[in-house]
Formats: sequence, C-alpha cells, structure tokens
Amino acid sequence: MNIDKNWLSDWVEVKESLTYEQLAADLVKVGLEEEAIHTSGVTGSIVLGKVVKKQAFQASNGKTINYCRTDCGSEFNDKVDDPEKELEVGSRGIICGAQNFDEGDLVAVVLPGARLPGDFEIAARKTYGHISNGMQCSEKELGLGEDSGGIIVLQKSKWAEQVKSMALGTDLKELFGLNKEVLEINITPDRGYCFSLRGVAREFALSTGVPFKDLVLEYQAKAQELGAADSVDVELQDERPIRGVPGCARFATIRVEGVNLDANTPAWMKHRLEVAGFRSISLPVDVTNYVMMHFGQPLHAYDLDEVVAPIVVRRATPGEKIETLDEKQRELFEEDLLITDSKGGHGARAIGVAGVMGGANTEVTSKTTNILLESAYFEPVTIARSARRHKLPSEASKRFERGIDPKMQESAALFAAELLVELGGAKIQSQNASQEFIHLAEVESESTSVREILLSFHEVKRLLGVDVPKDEIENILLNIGCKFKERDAETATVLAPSWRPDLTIPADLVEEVARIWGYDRIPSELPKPSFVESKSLNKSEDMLRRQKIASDMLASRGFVEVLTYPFSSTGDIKISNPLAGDKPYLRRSVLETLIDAASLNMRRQNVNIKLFEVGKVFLKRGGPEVEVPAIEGGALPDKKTLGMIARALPDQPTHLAAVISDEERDDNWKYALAEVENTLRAYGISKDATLSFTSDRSHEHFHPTRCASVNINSEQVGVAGELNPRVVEKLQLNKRSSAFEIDLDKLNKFKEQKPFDAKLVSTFPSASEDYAFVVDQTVEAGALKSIIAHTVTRVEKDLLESVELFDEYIHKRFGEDKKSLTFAVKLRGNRTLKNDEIQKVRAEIIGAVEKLGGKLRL
Amino acid sequence: MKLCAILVIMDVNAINKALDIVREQIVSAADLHELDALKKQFMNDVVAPASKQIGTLAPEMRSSAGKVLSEAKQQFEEFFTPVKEKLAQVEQSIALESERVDVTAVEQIVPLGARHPLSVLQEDIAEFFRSISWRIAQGPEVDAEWYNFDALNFGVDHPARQMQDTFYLEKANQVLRTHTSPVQVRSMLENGVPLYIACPGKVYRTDELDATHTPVFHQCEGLAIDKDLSMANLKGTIDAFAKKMFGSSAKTRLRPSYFPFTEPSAEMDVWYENKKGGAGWIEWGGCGMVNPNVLKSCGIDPEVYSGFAFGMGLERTLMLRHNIQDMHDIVEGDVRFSRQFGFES
Repeated sequence: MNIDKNWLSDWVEVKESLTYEQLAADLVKVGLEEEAIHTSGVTGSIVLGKVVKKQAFQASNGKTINYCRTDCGSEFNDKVDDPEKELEVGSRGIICGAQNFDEGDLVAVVLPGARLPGDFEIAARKTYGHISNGMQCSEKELGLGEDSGGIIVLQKSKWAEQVKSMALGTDLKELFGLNKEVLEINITPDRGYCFSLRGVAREFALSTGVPFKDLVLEYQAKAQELGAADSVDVELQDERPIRGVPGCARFATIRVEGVNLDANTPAWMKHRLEVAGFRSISLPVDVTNYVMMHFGQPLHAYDLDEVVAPIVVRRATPGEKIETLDEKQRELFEEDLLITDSKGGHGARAIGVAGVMGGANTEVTSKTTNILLESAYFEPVTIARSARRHKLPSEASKRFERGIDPKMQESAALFAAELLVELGGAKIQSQNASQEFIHLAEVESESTSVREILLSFHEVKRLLGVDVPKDEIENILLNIGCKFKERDAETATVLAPSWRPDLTIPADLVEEVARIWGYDRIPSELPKPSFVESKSLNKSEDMLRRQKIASDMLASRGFVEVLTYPFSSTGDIKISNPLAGDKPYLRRSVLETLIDAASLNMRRQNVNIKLFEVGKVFLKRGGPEVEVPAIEGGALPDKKTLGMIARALPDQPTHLAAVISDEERDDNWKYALAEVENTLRAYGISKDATLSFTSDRSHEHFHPTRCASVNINSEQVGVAGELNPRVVEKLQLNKRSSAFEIDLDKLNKFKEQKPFDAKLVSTFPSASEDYAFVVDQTVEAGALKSIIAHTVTRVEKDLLESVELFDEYIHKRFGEDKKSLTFAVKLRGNRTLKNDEIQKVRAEIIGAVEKLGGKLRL
Repeated sequence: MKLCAILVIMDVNAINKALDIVREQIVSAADLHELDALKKQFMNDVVAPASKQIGTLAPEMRSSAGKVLSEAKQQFEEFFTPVKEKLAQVEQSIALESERVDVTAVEQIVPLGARHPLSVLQEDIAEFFRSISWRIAQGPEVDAEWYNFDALNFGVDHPARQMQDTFYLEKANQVLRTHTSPVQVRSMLENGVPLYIACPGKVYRTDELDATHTPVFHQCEGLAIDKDLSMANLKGTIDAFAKKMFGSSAKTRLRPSYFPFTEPSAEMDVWYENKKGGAGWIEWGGCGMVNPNVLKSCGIDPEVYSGFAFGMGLERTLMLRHNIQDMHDIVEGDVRFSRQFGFES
C-alpha cells in the first residue's frame, strides 16, 4: 500500500515539514511496517526541448540514427563560436535512435550530469561522429511506464495541455511527478481497513495524536439523511451459504445517468491513482478505483443500459460460465457467488463473479453514459475461495477477503456518484417516485452485526505485565473507534468498530491498548520456570545430545558437516508443488542428497572429501494406508483422530550419513566401516550389544560386493561400504569413494538401560597369541572374529581383552579359492594365566575354526 | 703410568700421587669414552691390586690400609663424577642438536573437520534455554495441516494461510511444516502445562534459492505457558536470548504486528553493536502472547493459563553475526564454508 502525504492530508492534518522517514516511523509505531520509501530515482535536469533539425543516417550496424539539433532554451543551448557551422537558432546536438518524432516536436531532454532510474548517469559523449550532448528520453527511461515505443513527444502526450504554456528549457521533473516521494507500507492480514487512506490516516492520527476527520461518517450521515429505499431491483438469494454465513449481506446501488463521454479524469485523481498503482482507464472506472483506495470499499460499475432488472445475487449453478472483463471464458464453480441479471429469465445471466471480477456483458465502455454503481459487502470466505479458484487475486478481492466495513456501502456509493456528477456532468437518478436514490438490499448476517466483547480490565495487566490506568484503557479503545455498551469498575462491554472485524476477543483489545499505549513501556522480566518433567522431552533431548557427540566425534576425525536439501528424484513421499520439477520427492536416505554435495566439492577442486550430515528421511509407513483426516477449524480433535494423523504421516527417522572420498586410498571402504563403528560407539550403544557387519548386495548406491549391512544384535541399523562405481563416475567422485548411513532412531533401543558394572582393571600380565587360519575365500573375517570371541568367552567370561584381524592374505600356495586370515588374540584374567590355561583356549579356538573348514597355518 | 709398585706398602703418598696423576688426566678427558677408560684403568691398576694386597696384610694392618684405599676411592669419585656429568651433558646436547627438525615443515596427519554452523547454532541455542531451565522439543518435518495451521488459528480461508508459501504433499492434508510451531502444539498436547520449551529445527517454504532466501531453512521457536505469564516475561526472555546471540550490549525492541497464533503480536528488533555499517537495530523475528484460541485447540484453559511464543530465523541470525553475503554458501555444502567455523557458530 503506497501512501502519498498530500492524499493523506484529506483525512488528517499533515505538516508540510513531515518527512517520509518520519511518517514511516509514526506508522511503524502502531504496527504498519515500512516496506520502502520510493523516490523516482531521477536527479539532475530534464528540460523541455524542441527538435529543430533531424538528420537521419545509417550507422555501421544498419540501424537508422538521428542527429538532432534541439532547442532547449537559451540557458541550455550550445554556446556557438562559429555561427557558420551551426544552425541559426541556438540548440544542442543530440544523437537519438528513436524514430517516432519529427522536426518541430516537443521532447524531454535529459542533460549531462543527470541520473535516471537504475543509477544510469547521462554524460556528453562522442558517438557516430557527433557530440551527443544529452538524451531525448522515453517514459520507460524515466521510470514512468513500461511503454517504450519511442521517446516522449510531449505535444501528443497526456501532458500536452500543460506544456503548451511552458518555455523551452523548463524543468519537467515536477510535470512528470518525478520530484515526488511515496511511502510503501506492509499491511498485515488483520488490518484490512488499512488498505485505504481512511484506515492509514486513522492509524497516523492514533500514533501522533493529531485529530482525525472520518469522511465516511460524514457521508454515512448524508446517506442516512437522504434515506435508502429498499431495493426492488436487487435480490439476495444465497441458498448455499458457506458455514451458514450468507455470501452477500448488503448490496447498495445508485444509478448515475448521462456521464459526459468527453469528461477526463482530472490530473489530481490520475496522480493519486498512479501512486496507488492503477492505470487511468476512464472516468467511471477511475472513480470506482479512487473510492476504493480512499474509503476501502470496492465498487463495481455496470453499463446500466445493459443490465436487465432484477439483479439476483446467488451461487453458481453446475456448468455455468461467464466471460469476464479480461475477455476470458471462465467455468464457474458451484461455490462461486455471482451477480446475475434477468436477461433471459430471472437471475439467468451472470454479470459478475462477486468481489472478484465483473462480466464483459455489462462492461462500462467508452460509449457508456448510464452507470449502475454496485457497493456491496461480500463475505470474506466466499471471496477468498473464488479468487483462489480462479487465480484472480485483485485489489477488490484482497479487501473483501480481509473483511471490509459493513456499514460503508451506502456512503461509498454516494461519494462515487457525487464524483461522477461533479467530474462527469452526470445526474443521479431515483428509480421510483420517492426521491430516495440509494437502494439497498440487505439480509441478516453475523459478519455485519455489531460485535460485543466483554473485557475485564485486569486482562490488560495479566497479558501485558504492567498496569495501564483504567482511564487510559478506555480512552485508547474510544480512540480506535470502540464504544462502550456498559462498563463498571472491573469490566466493560465493548462494541467493536464496524471496520475492525479482527477485534473479536479480549486479547484483541489488549493488543490495541498495548500498541497505542506503547510496546516500549512494557518492562522486561525473565520468568522463573517450573521444571517440566516429561519422558518424551527427555528422549528427544537425549537424542540431540547423542547426535552432538557423534557429530563432534566425526568432525574431530576430519569430517565436515553439511546440510543438504532433502529433495530427491525418487522416493516414497511426493510433494505436489515442488520447486524443482525433477526432484518432487523427499529423500529416503541422507546419502542420496549428501553425495551431490560431495560432487559439488569435487567440481570445485576440494579434494579428499569427508562429509557427513544428520537429517530426516521420509519413508512410507508400514501397515494399512491411512489418510490424514480433514479437520475443519481449530477445535481439539479427539484421540482417535490424532491417532489417525500419527499413522497417516510418513515415518521420519533421523539418519546420519557420511561420504569418504580420498583419492590416495583404494581401501576407503575400510575407513567407512571403521567410522561406522566409531559413530555407533560415540552415539552410545549398550556394552552388551553386539555389532556386526554382514555382506549386503541390496543397496543401489553401493558396490554390490563391497558393501556391508551394519547390525546390532542381528538387527540392521545401517549400511556401509564402497559406493557403486556407476554412482562414483556419474558424480565424478574420487575412485573407490565410500560411504555409510545409520538410522539413529533405531539405535535408541540399544542404548544402555541402566548404568553398567565397570570391570576391575586387571593388574595381571596379558597373554597375546596370534592365529593364522587358512579358510575358503567366502568365509568372512567378521564371522571368524566373532567365533573366536565367542569361543574365548565360552571358556571363561571376561578372559578376552581383544581380538583384532591384522592380516588378510590371498596366495595360491594356500590352495584354490583359499586365503589366510591372521588374528591377534589378547587374553587377560584376574590372575596370571598359566600356560595350560592358554593352551586350552588355543585348542578351543582352533577347534571352533576347524568346524568351519579353517585350518591353522603352521 | 706405573702405580702398582707403590701400593705394595700402602703408601699414602704414593696413592695421593696416583690420584693426582689420574685427576689431571680425567679433567682433560675429551669424551665419555676416554673418561670411562681412565676410570677402568684406575680401578684395574690401583684399586684392584691394592685391594688384593690388603687381603695379604696382617689382620691388624688391614683396617687402616682399607681406610686409606676407601678414602682414595672416594676422592676419585669426587673429581670423577662432576666431570662425567658435564661430559654427558655435552654429549647429549650434541646428540639432540644433531636431531634438529624443521618445525615449520608440518602437515596434519588427520586434518580436523568441521561442524555446520547452523547445527552448532541450534546446539548453542538449546544450551542457552537449558541454562534458564527450559526444555528442548522436536517434531516431524512432514506434518498434518491441522498441526501446522488450524491448531495455530490459521483458518482454511485466512489470508495468512495463503501467505505461507507452503509445500503440500500429494497425500491429502499433509504439508512440509512452514514453521516450527507445530512442535509447540504437539508439546502442549503431550505435556500439558506448565510448559517452557524451545524448538530449533528445519522448516520449508516455496521460496527459490537466492542470496537471501532458501526453501529449506531453520528456525528456533520458544513457547512458555504458565499461570501469570505476561508480555513482560516475553521481553525478559528475548532480551536474555538476544544477549546470548549478539553479545551483552544487545537489547530488543517490539513493534506491533500480526500472527494468527499470538495476540498481542509483535515484530522484534535487536540492537546489534557489531552490525555491518555501524551499531543499529536489525529485524530478528516475531513474537507475542499465545492466542487464546491456540490454547483452547490444545486443551488448555486460557482463563487460567497464559503464555508467550517467539521465533526467529537461524540463517538470518548467522548471516547477521558473520556478515555472510550469500545464502548459497550456507546451503551448498562446500567444505570451505563450514571449515571457516570449525566447531563454532
């Protein structure tokens, strides 16, 4: 919403000295946020010139270029030393590429040193063999419009009248409105009334204390005096109201006849409409837009001669169509509220989609002299849905959606009609014998009735934490337009002003008090919370703590954490309005988006990458398919419904994934597996839980024979190994890049349930034994290792200190398809182990491995 | 050197003379090797034969002869030990000198990695709220529209709901959460009142990535519900939080605004001393007193309980603190970005 000081002064006193910065500050204080202060972006001189000579020539690129001599008045013309060389009259030399002008035309000349929008500085320069000493400019170059069919030819432009009396060399910035500033403010959705000068002016008055003159009330009084006749011509017949509220509660009309077709919109109104962002179209249309901006009431003008009474406001019927003002055929939806007339039958023809767009059939054209003005209150929900369905957000629908003042229809129509009389020479017609010319159709609706709010004065203290004196509270409420129906020492029954549909509960009134009284007067007091005991919070905090430990551990081991977008080209869960068409799904693994980050780093020559990410993945939930039930409104759903929501939402576990891409290593997979173990231990799993790796061919991103499933107590919790060479090549990673991914949610059940018993640290000597076994190549070292561990533990609990694989060796001397695996086993007991004890363990280990077909290498 | 003959009669003078001779040799010894040879020679040539001889003496003479010999040995040690220590020291420093390395020729064997500053920032925020006795809550990123909108007083047709630039899922009534507020709703339903929670997390809106926008970003919201909580408590909380995030000189300012889930509502600005271009106010987030309709949606009696909520964008916080010019750096995953931060936010 753009605010012009001059326009604002129609409603409130605005001091000449008020800067736009101060205006912005005054409005911010009461909740209207500054978006920008717009200036034209033009500085320097733009003067009136007359082309006295135009020499066309062909430039080397084939374009026709004009060398012009343009008279810019004696002050700005070239000082001619040698009159022989130059023209008799004084002028400036200007190169101009436009073709839409002739000698004798009046043009706008930008002089060197001036700046145009986009910080475009004009300088004298030599071009095409001449000095171009300025620029003849177009509207677009001045930021006045989009049309760039050529330069401005002033005597043929909208400024023709004004330039007639101007001397050459006159500065044109004021004429073009380029010396004006405008304040743009943001209007929050609750403040629909501020989409009007009336609303903004009221807020300015509230902020600064200057008196506010409500023109709408004046017109209301005037309209009341004139009296409104019951409309015989309009019928409100909403048979399918949304949520029981009629789509149209009030519909006022005025007939205006004999609008002078030659009447132009006056410059002041054009200027104001321009500030508001409207193009001037015709007087009747301009007047409706102007009244909307001034009062906040959207109006529609119909060609009265095309409308066949009666008008019926009703919902659309199946299959009904309309051609709207933008010359588009539109299929209507049964929920659309229509304005219809009775051409071809009672309410048979749609002449507008209520609050959204009028119909082409009754459009006001350049030949229209008789006009029917519509000024209605349409229900916000109905209009919001229609505008959305037809993708036709408009200035009118924006206001209806937020709720307009339901008391303003007659006054806005009257104001518009008077403007047409004054500016267009029209006459207001009464349609019946009485002299009442405002006609109103009205039905009862909760939206248009006065809202009563019971306010306890203590509520202000309770919510703000500060005492605002009672008389201050009352004054503030009166100033914003509230009235008191009843009040006593503790409470007041407050009647909300008609233009404030957002005021419905006591808290709304407390906000009004707070913002006018001043948010800065509320003190600052840190609360002393009572501790909240909660199992679910304990659990989520515990997960965060573990994630931090695991993340810090990986970072200290050289991994860099990144956060990638979870959008993917495949998945279970699909977005219906994705940003990137090729990635409409949510990821099923963190790895699938993390590897793209690895690829980006490779492309940027960041070599030897180790990355990790902790994030959610999105998986289809097992079990029968459930939909999230549609729940209307904010009421608390029952347990069953909440349960359905829980079952319908995708499973969203948190995963940790990492990529290792070290160009100097060809066994990155080993590091991936080793880091998995580190990560699991850092995240925290029970001392009793058994971690194992088993060969796994089922993961598309991984190398089928160099990939392991990561298991705890035989349940898979992750995957680790070398990336599939196809993936590596596609993403141009280092060869043999490896990765792992762990489902952190699954780890929760393996965490230590109670404090474990710490082992006594044995001070007795250890016994280290090496075992080299020859086994089939298919036998996995991991399996052998766990057999060894089990065997030792079976012989004696707590005897095993460690078992490590330290050599894997394939050689044909071990036999076809055989390999040698060497393990170091370290035993330690709570006594010095005797040789026969050690030998017994040794025999057991060898025996166990032999059962698998392994033989001790001698 | 011939010392043996003198010792035959355990001549004290002879021993002293022998000591004098060996002292002179020891003092001028060049290295430990020579020194040890001298000692060995002294032991072999003087001490050993003398000891042997003492054994042959008459018993009454043995003790005085033994005394003479042990005094001689003691004297020997007295001048031998300092020389030996000195030479050992010299030799050790020569050895150490020869092992000199170029201490500037170093490289990390396992170079340190780095955390993403947004993750660290979320942890720091959690730590701050834990320090004022609040709890940390988490929730799903795909959520039901009811949690994301309806329960928060965003009606189906409310303009504010249209302004949220929501990602909708193909499955009906599901969205990618547009803010972390659904976590507040879930926490209220799950834990009831009183409640003091902060919810840092990832949120989604359909903004294209550019220098200042990203469709996936992070927020931290706070919610406190208790008896007698007021906007003054809200101010106190965000003042303390702002000091944690922007230094002890930070303070906050509220401006009237609108959010469906709070009433009164406010935008909050924070005074930042190290603001690029000079100390000043920066927009930080939104806040307000929880709308009674939201409390009702969550089964809490708004007549008995009141509360406040606030939220801010973490990317913005990070960008302001570190003068980050371009959002791309935060989201792209180039390791050089995170490495600048190490383990800090």
